Amino acid sequence: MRISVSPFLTGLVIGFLGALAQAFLGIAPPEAYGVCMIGHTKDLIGWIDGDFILKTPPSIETPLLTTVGVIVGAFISSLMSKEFKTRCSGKGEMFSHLVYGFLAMNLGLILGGCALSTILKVAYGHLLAIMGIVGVIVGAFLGVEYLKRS
Amino acid sequence: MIVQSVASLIIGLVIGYLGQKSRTCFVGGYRDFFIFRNTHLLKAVIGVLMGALIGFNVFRLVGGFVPNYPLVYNTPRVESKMLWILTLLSGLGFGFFSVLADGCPFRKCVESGEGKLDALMYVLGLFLGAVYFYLFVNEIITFLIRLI
Repeated sequence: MRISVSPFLTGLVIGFLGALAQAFLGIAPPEAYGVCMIGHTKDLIGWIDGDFILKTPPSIETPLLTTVGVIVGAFISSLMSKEFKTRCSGKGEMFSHLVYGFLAMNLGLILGGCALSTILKVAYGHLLAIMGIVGVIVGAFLGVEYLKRS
Repeated sequence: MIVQSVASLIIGLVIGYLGQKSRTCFVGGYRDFFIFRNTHLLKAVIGVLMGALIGFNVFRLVGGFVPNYPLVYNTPRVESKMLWILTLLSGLGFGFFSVLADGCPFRKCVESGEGKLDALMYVLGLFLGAVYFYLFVNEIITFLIRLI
């Protein structure tokens, strides 16, 4: 079964669901927190840990399962379109991805969200998020220049 | 409440499904624009902006929980100069390393669902990063923000 979905439509649905999650489903305390791959992952870790060692500020009492949902949703989708295939590009690449994930989490927690939720925050009018998205765009430009030269 | 868990799981399932179909990536949008002048993925960014603007405005009229909606005049914690610098620097790093990793966290979670083991390591890195941040980095950041 193959259905084509445009990135624009996906973005529209994500933005709308993000607003819905804050307005009616109670995923709120920080503003525009409806969908955030960094913040919700952090909350999940904080919930697993409890009050044991980490002392994370609990923004929401129950675990937020967005990360799990995205992985399972993509798994179901790739099974349905027969695109699921276990693949790996070598040990070095796997280790560097571990480091990239580690850095993305630490930088994202300072930034206040992932690339996606920063856009949600810009839509909410958050001044720091506007600064943050300028940083992300310039950072992407620097990354492209670095890749061109290496 | 259990509502938030179930709601976030269902939202995750829906956007994960759509994200796999459309290969949406939010850093990939900027990257493709800078390399190929290709705006295919950049439309996802416009989509999120439009969807969120429509959503916040409509839900505010209907009576949903949208406090201080245009947050421009009362953004929390804007008085700290250090927070502005940190936000810009962490944004720069986030964009840079997301381009090197070939995708934003959302795209990487979708790829790990597709069976890409590199992306699965990235998700593991996210988990380890959260543990590290709250063990060592959080106090330094709090200290720096209090400084200026």
